[in-house]
Amino acid sequence: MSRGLVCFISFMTCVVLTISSVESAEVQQGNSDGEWRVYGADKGGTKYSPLDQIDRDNFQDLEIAWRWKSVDGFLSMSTADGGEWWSSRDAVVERLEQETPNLYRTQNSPNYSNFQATPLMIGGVLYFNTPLSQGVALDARTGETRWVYNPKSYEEGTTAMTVTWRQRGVAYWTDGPDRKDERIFWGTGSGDLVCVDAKTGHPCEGFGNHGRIDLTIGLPRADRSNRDYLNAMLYSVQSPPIVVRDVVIHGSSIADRRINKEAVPGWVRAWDVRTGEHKWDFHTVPQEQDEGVETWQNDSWRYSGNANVWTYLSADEELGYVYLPTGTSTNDYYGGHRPGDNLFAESIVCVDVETGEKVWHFQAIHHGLWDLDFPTAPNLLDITVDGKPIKALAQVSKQGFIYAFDRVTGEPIWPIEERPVATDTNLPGEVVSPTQPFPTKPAPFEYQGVVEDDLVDFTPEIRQMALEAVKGFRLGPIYTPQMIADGEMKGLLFRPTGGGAANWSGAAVDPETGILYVPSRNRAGVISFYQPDGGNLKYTHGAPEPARLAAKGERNFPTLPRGLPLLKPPYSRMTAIDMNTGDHIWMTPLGNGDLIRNHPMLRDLDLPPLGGDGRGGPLLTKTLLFSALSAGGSDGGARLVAYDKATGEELGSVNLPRGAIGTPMTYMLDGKQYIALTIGGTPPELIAFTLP
Amino acid sequence: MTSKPHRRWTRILPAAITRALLMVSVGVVPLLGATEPVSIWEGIYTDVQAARGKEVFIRACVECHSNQLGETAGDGTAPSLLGETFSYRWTDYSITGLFDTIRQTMPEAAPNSLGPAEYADVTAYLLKLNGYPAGASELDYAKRELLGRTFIDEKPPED
Repeated sequence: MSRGLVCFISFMTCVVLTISSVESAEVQQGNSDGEWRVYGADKGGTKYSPLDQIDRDNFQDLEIAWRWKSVDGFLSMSTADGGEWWSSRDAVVERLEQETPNLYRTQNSPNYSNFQATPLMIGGVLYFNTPLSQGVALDARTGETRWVYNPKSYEEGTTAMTVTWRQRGVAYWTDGPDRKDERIFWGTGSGDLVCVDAKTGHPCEGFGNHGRIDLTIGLPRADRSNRDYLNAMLYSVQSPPIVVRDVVIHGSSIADRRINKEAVPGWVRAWDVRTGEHKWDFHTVPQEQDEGVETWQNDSWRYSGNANVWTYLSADEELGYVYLPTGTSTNDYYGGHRPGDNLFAESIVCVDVETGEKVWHFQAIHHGLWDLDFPTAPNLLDITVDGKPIKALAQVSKQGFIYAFDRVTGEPIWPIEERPVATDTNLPGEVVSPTQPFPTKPAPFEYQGVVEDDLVDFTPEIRQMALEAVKGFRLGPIYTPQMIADGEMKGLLFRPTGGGAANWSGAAVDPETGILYVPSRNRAGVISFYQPDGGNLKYTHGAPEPARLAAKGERNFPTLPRGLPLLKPPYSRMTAIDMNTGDHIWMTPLGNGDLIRNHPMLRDLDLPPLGGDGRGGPLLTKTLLFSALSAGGSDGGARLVAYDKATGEELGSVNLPRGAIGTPMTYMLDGKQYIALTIGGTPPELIAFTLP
Repeated sequence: MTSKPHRRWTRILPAAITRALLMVSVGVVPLLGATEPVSIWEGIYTDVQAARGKEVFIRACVECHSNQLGETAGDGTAPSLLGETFSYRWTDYSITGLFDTIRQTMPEAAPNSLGPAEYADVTAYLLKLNGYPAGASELDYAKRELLGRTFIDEKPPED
């Protein structure tokens, strides 16, 4: 018997023995020892820590403990003589472009701005990755760099996805309580899974090919030498994997602005943490023998893609289940090439982590036409509903609904009704689903749809301007079908947009109270469809059409002059919902909205806080709820805000040197609690706050 | 809820700082004179600054905003920043208003994450893209009160 197997068996025995106490506690209660072991605090994605040193009385005293500038400003490339050349990002990228003309998508060479990571903290060390896919370990006390591993994925080309060059974090695994073997995993922009030793950062020799797995192998239409019409790669990973019972599982990013109907399917893939051996794929776009293939009429499963999990995952170690929040299929807004419901797009899929078999699923949108991907991992929490304890799953969404289930069985906690929706559209070839699921509880946490009553009414004059502005646009409730601009018809004004009510910053849940806190944004949009040259999609969307309209002096969005908002406030908010009852407890606008308030037509009005200062990712502790906002700091800049968990009242505000990029996290070390988050800069930074 | 005293403080403080800065820096702002704002048509940024702004734009903005008609693809939901779409949105806005709006709302995924100088450079680039002339002096964040009285307006008739 190999040493690895002995380790494995002893570890599993340990896991089985402790599973009911330690592991379920880990899922539910964040990390008890001041660590932050998973991207979302724990595998249940709670974003909750039981730490309480930073509280309402001392929050205002927080000081910057240290600042770390991203290593992405200083890159390396291999040289012909076998050496390694290090220089500024600009110099290295210039050299790469000289050596390989057209290596990158136009105006999209390696970019360090989207430093969206939330670090892990384990054993006094912070682990994360950078937009250029470098893995980093820092001393959590000082911010001093411990190691960097650079897979040089940027040497291969521009990453996939509409919004490129970003990474949100890494996953950690260890072999047992002694932490003899500790590993860090992340996916790269060029579609590899990397495994390194957590202590040194050196690639794990026994894992895959010297610590790396090419994730495009075995995936239909994912040939890594191919490029799309924008000269970008076809397949990337930009969100952290999750490790469950010695299996590492990840989603993917696949471009969703396309001119061809053929796309890479967003299968969720699983690998053995020790060897990198392939364990299973879950076919989010089914193959011929799979369940759900009948929901892709005209054999459209053969070429359709996406339906990917571009965000992160959550899991229940005790059950051995991983939960996959999937996105829209190809194409985001036009479904004429994929008639049918399109399982398992825009679904929550519960999968057995050992076998990859589906346990249950729920499709939130049939035949999606609004880019309403599930943008964040579901929150796992244990609640009591009508006296009955339930292991629950709460999924916040771009569309503003919360879908709540028994996470063991997939039974909805409150009824989810299949209701008729409008099906008329002028888009040739589009067949709209006649019904969509509507949760009866909780109530939506953000505005949905746009009807005349939603238009701004600060003054009668402004309301009249708004009514004029929407003339020609189709209005309607959520799930109103898309329209192509044609004659008098200017398109569908819909809300929420693909940018989402909630997005990847997700929600936090308090395992002690069962209360969920979700930041969200109020934004409407119009899609301009056009028939692409050189592709086989009948219709797609993107810049060329708005640009053509602009050149003709036409707008594709109902705009009021000088930035007056079209819709009623708030423009972003935080909502607290008791998941034991499904009732909203409080809602507070995120920020004062001074930009809007100071408009010449509004500044003399007595308006309440309008929100609109961002929807910073939530961080929840025993004592406080935090959100990073883009405005309102005492220097006019960004700030970290603490809220009263019971009422939503703002308790304090600490200036940030630059606007936040990622979601904050917290940890405790040597008796001091820290809050760390990534902020902007040239290059961006990771900073940590602590009490003096 | 944002507390009222805090709100007032955030409104008052930047203006107070700016006034203090202006009193100190008036002597080194020959183009703008003492407190008289210049017209946007006299040139309120430099070509060098707009070139820097283009670099920032490519790094932070171009993914969603097309900067050349049809040449660079962008996200369909991000508004064009050119021509009539720009002028309808921004006509009669002050330069400080434009600057503050960009700073506090962009890049969408991380507002306020660039430095004030980078936001000033991007503002200069947008003005150049939309045909407002360059001049001899850079658009400077520290002159925000003066720039609050410089408006994006139509070109006055030539004499």
